Amino acid sequence: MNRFDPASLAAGLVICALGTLLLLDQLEVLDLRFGYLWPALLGTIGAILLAFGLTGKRR
Amino acid sequence: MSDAPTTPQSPPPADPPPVPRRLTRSSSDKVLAGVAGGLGRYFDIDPIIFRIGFVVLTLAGGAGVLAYLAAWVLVPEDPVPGQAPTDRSRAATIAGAAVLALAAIVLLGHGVFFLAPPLIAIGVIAIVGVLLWRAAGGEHGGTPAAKIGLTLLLIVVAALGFVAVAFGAALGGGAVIAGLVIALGGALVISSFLGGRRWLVLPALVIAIPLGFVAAAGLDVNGGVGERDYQPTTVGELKDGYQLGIGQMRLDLTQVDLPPGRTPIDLDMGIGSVRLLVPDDVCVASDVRVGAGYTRVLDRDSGGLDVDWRQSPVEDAGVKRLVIHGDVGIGELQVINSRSGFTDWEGDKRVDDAFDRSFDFGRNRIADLSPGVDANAGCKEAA
Repeated sequence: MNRFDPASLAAGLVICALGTLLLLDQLEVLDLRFGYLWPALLGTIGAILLAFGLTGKRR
Repeated sequence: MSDAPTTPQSPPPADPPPVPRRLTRSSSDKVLAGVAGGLGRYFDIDPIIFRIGFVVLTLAGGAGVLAYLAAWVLVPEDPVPGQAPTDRSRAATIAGAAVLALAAIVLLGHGVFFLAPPLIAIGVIAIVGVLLWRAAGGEHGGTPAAKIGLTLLLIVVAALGFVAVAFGAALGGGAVIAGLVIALGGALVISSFLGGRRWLVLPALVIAIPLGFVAAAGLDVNGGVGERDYQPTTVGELKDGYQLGIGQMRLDLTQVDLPPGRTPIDLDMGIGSVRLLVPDDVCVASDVRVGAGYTRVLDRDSGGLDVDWRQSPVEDAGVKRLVIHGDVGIGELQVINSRSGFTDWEGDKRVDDAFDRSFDFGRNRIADLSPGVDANAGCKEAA
């Protein structure tokens, strides 16, 4: 039986959010600038690392 | 020799071997992560001294935060009796917390703090390198040469992926690539109910990071590659817009007798340099966006990341007004006339000096290059 992996869920949601941000920029709904890109990328990477770290061994 | 019987005696207990003193983060005397507590114990000094030092260094430029985070990551915590050594997940937790803190600082600081994009880039590269090293086996498994080779191979593959995605996005495929990022995220979410497929994170980031860079810079490399030199002599030869993907573009309008009133002109450059020479009797209004680089309009300049330049001088009635709309992804856009101090910008050293300043990423403010000289005097001259 497959186990639920909350880290993958969290990482997937964060990546979906980042992708949505990028898509909105491409569709010119918003104008992404470096001032917001850096924290968005760092936040994504940090959240993923945190999720993987808090849930133990990777698979 | 004595024949007296000797009573068996256990040898006096030997002194325990000296335990090498080891710097660890204190688990008992801690405010955040026990760094100051550990340092105080190691040096036999009141930890408050180190805490004050961290605070002072933080207020005096931010080095205290950097030092504390480095010690948090690098210095191990006190070992707990009966507990297995920590594994990589703990390091990932710490790294994640540190990166999130960094993100918050960047978001809230906006140039106030010590952080600059190059420093952040170095940090991101370091994190990616560590992740790739671990993906290649880390400290376990394989010979060092094999691990280094595999790590380098992964770095090369990731770099090629970055470049390919960046060009794909700059050529107009950004929406599709963004959709791919969302799809990978969705696949991760679905996989979480099937045991998880954490490796999907790597391709998602390899795609998302260069796309983000292209998006933030506003890169558009449509329009060709090379050098363009335009020298129209009449208004009829003047086009509404000039575009180049990658390269250098030079537009000389000094021979054009612009009509009174508004003459708009669009300049689009993906990566490279745009230089526009205008007649002295023209009033220049400009709206320029530079993702990363430098812009100069007559005697004013600005540079860095996210450069937004708007200059709309009030002009007398009937003057010749050139309205420039510029969009540069990475590079420079310079608008020059002879009053701004340049008759031949190719041979003028000050232009290059100014361009060098564009790499002062935190600047992003307008500087007056010719104090006392009104290089945009065309706004005050009736036609």
